[in-house]
Amino acid sequence: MDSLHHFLSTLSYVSEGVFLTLEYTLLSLLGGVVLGLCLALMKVGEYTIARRAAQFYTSVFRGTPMLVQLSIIYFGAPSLVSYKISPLMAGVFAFSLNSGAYVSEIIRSGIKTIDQGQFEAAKALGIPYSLMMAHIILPQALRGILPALVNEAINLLKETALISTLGEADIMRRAQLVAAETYSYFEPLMMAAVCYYFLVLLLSGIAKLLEKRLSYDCY
Amino acid sequence: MIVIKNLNKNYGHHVVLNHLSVELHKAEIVAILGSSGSGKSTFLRCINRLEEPTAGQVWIDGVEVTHSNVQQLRTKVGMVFQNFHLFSNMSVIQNLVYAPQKVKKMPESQAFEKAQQLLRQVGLEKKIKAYPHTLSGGEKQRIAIARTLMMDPEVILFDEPTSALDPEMVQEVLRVIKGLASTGITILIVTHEMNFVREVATRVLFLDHGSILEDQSTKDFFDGHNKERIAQFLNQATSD
Ligand SMILES: Nc1ncnc2c1ncn2[C@@H]1O[C@H](COP(=O)(O)OP(=O)(O)OP(=O)(O)O)[C@@H](O)[C@H]1O
Ligand SMILES: [Mg+2]
Repeated sequence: MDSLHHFLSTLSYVSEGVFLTLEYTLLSLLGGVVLGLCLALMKVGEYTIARRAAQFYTSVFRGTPMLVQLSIIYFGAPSLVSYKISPLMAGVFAFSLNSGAYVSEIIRSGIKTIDQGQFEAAKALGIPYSLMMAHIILPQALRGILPALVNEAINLLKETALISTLGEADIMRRAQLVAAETYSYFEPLMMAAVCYYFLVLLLSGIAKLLEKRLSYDCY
Repeated sequence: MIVIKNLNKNYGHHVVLNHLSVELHKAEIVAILGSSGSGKSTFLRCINRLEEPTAGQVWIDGVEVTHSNVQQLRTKVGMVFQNFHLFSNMSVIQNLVYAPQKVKKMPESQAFEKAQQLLRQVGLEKKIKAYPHTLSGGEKQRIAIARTLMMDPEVILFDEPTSALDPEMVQEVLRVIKGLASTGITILIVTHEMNFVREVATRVLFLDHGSILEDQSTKDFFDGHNKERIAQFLNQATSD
């Protein structure tokens, strides 16, 4: 009885981290998609400087560990500007910047798969570039890249475990706290794993629905 | 109304259009013939600036459009492609009303009315809600023509509009194009359908290595004592 009670209270303590983990994930995803879209448009656009800048950005953020990026933003930057940044801001900022690099590559490759004829037909009708991208090219590209975007969202979700290093009480951090207190590691960490897995299943489920909707609407 | 002066197009050292000059008049139906690689597509694409000419000028209605507002040029000059290029994320009706609404600011009700009328004209009013992937090639091309007509162009460029079609669908598309003759729209058409050219075109431009080798009325072109190069082309084209 006692051990069951203990088990349940541990489970509820660890799983309460789900909300924080989700908060970080969704905010960062939003930031990553917005940034990634901008970078992708720079990459497929005609301005060489913008293209180079976006490529450079991507190579830097893909070429350095997430943990380093997060640490620089949370621990490093404040010491330069003497301004304390909250873990939430630092985390969302760092994850968005990082995710934007990956998302931009996904969107760019999606745009590249669109038949040149779609661009030419739009141009021949006098449709301005911005409208062509927004209403013709990107909607078509999105269909193809949705699985890759979901993949990125799942990666992001798992990477948010890094915020435990900033002392944020997310799933991972809570599991560690319990472990340190009770000297038993297996149970709380397994619970953390189950929580993450549950969230990933949830994300995949939503994505499936979205994919279905898109395919009915578009074709 | 279309004046083309010294049009040149090079890809690197490869000269594709070579000092091409010609004047086209309102309501003319101009067939552009020539062997593969002679520059027919490039010629059309330089007129609406899907390709930038290396040198030379295009004037439409007395306005030089080579360097001025492309958007404005493109509302006057429509284009129909070999592979249709309907917007695959949009239904037939959306394909038709999108550009007039967004580019010409046509009111929604007017755009829909016009679309319905054009769909009747091309015999596809039943397909109004269909998506492109559910249509046959001939249907796609007729929708593409209707989409171009939505913009009320003064000129339509056709680049081999029936070359990607199964034989039994060629006529339904040619019939629609034929219906445009004598409506005042100027038509430039690249095609291998010699019967269509004979019957519908008023003028023939024969391109060879990026230059106009012959510029004649259709009657003279087919009846005339042609240059050897053209006789050879016609022999081949009609034996296909
Ligand atoms: N983007 C390009 N880059 C390099 N060369 C090109 C390009 N587009 C066309 N060309 C060349 O220009 C020449 C003319 O091409 P174009 O497509 O205008 O010919 P065409 O008369 O339309 O031929 P076809 O009957 O085969 O369609 C060809 O030799 C072609 O290889
Ligand atoms: Mg061609």
